[in-house]
Amino acid sequence: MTLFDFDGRKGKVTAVGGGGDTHRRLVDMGLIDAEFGVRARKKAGILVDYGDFCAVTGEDTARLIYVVEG
Amino acid sequence: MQIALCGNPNVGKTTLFNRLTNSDAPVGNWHGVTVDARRKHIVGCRDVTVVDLPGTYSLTPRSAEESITRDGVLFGDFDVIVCVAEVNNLRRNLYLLTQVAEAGKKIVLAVNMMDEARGKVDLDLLSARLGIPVVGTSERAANPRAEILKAAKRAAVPDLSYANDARIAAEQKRLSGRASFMSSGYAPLFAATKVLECDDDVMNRLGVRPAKQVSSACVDCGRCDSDRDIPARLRYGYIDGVLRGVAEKKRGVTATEKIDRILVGRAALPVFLLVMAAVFVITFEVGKPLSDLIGRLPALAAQPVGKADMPDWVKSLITDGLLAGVCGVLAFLPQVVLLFLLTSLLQDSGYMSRVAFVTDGFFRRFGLGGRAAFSIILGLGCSQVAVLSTRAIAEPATRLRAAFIAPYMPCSARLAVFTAIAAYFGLPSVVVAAMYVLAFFVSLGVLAATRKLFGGGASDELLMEMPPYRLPSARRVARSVLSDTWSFVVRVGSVVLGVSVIMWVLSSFSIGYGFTGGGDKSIMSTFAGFVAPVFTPLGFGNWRAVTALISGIAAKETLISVIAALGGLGEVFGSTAAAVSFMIFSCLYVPCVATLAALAKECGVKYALLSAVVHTVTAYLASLVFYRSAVLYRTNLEVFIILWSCAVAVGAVAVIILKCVAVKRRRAQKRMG
Repeated sequence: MTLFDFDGRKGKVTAVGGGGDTHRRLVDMGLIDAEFGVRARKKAGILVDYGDFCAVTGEDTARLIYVVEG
Repeated sequence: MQIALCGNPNVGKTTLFNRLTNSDAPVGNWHGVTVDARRKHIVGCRDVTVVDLPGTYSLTPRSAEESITRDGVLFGDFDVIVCVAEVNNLRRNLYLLTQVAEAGKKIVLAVNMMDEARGKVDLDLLSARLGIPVVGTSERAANPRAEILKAAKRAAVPDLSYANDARIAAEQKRLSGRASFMSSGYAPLFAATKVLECDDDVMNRLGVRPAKQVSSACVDCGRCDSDRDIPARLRYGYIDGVLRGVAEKKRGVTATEKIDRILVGRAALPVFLLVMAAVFVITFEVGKPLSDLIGRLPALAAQPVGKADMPDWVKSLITDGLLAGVCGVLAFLPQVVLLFLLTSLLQDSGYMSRVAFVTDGFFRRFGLGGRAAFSIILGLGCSQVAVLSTRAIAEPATRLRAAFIAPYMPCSARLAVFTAIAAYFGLPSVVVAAMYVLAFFVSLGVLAATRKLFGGGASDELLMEMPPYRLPSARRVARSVLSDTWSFVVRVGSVVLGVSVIMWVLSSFSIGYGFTGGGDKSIMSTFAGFVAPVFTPLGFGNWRAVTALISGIAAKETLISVIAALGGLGEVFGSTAAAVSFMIFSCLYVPCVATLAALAKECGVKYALLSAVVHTVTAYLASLVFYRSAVLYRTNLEVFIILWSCAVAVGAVAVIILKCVAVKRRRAQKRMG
């Protein structure tokens, strides 16, 4: 499942999709194998705590981040 | 020696730069503050230069400012790169350091914000594992100048254990024989990892594609372990090894998480509106008593000047040209300073970054992202700064849109105009606040109307780091407010003073009659008199108002100073409605020359000129609608009510029709998808 579909509180990023530029940015921000917690959800974005940092992810981008719960 | 400071956004590079060089470059607890490289000597060391590069996560840039950093690190003539990292974010911050090391650069690691560390951090262990000097820094500790200089002399290239990975070695071997690689200037390890990652810039420069292409079917699924992630996984594996045992892990819920539950939870938007309302109320009401006091100075000073034994034209120059002009603007310095103080506090606390998240859903409807909120809020201080800040927006069409509408937000200079008119005509402060609301909605209307002009169509993806909340630093806030206030005062002292004197000369002298002390025979009245009839439908079709508007193109502060020099607000405006109409026009019309120059630099001369035209047309229409409605209200209330009722009804029907069309389009797209 993707981060967008995820309705739990805590999980782990297993893979990152997206083409070229988007994929690169997600990798550069340290999402690969990162453990996370969801802090807040709005219509167009999710505020996610990745442990060392917190970042807002828009809907389109959240659909590219593959996660598992726990 | 040349030293470059690089690192992720918001790790404190500019704060460190300011401390090393005794500068006051703008800093803020949010991203996109530094948008260009700054260069200065270290204090006490004329032979050591420091350059502050814009923040970036990687040496594969995604925006104009990140390109500056990439080019600086790879091709700049730096002896040492100081990588600045945040102590609570080492894993991600060291990712950039590994790429700088791949490029073969000598590095010092500065671990910043040590006073905010969540637990113990063993910098000696970190230094031993990386093989480079590591310096701990924080704003509250002693100036790290000496330590940084000492470390710079011992700077080294880290020994990256993953450099010998078979896949990277194979890629290096593939590239090594190529002529394009020899002339590229890239270090072999850097070129190899970037080609494996499919970095377009590097691949185009080398004229190569990756040895193993990523299948297009795999590009989006994210489940395949594609080769393009090999360098990233190797880097993070190396970093995890380096950091083992270096820093204590955080435990429990942090203060930032607790505050975020309130400020970005369900109450996010009401809290934001409340905060903005508080900023406006404090700015206008608290600053008013002091503002009134300063406003009385010209009248007090005029008495001794009038009694002095001087030629009439000298007395007129001092009272009508200098005092009236400059004091007319300085009277509103208290409100301006309060606005600078409050926005600086919000920025430094970390709340401003949350504003982007809270407002993102709203701005996306207009083809902007939450990042545009930064530029719009910066525009409250200065439109030029707001336009320049849009450089941090990665997506070109979104950047153009944000830069185009940023000047609509009334800057501190226009605040001085609004408060002067409101104070003279006894208007409540809600009228001044209404100017901001009007400007905001007019800018969105202009954006909607010019949507096709900017192309793209996709708004900037919001993938943005939120800094932790911090108690605003008194020193940083004071420095920011002093710097902004000083810039304002300098502009008043230079541009406003200069324009006031020029306007006084043109308005007090006549060709053939000499000094006339003002009136209809002056040089300016003749010229402005030709243009004035254009503004008659708006209620201020007189040469004095037109003269003020012309001077406002140089600097908006001069609007009030010129009116003061030409006889005052009572002389220029025949009614309150005319004054409010002028307020609306000055709120929306062409930005100042400095802003137009920034627009030309960021978006091109075509957009700068278009912006000037669009601003003036929207200003004219808005003033016209207001003034004609006000006159109609006074002379024929029935017709006024009928006309506005029809306008509201037509507007409501148009909105309903557009909504229905949008819903139909979405349903059709869902059926097709």
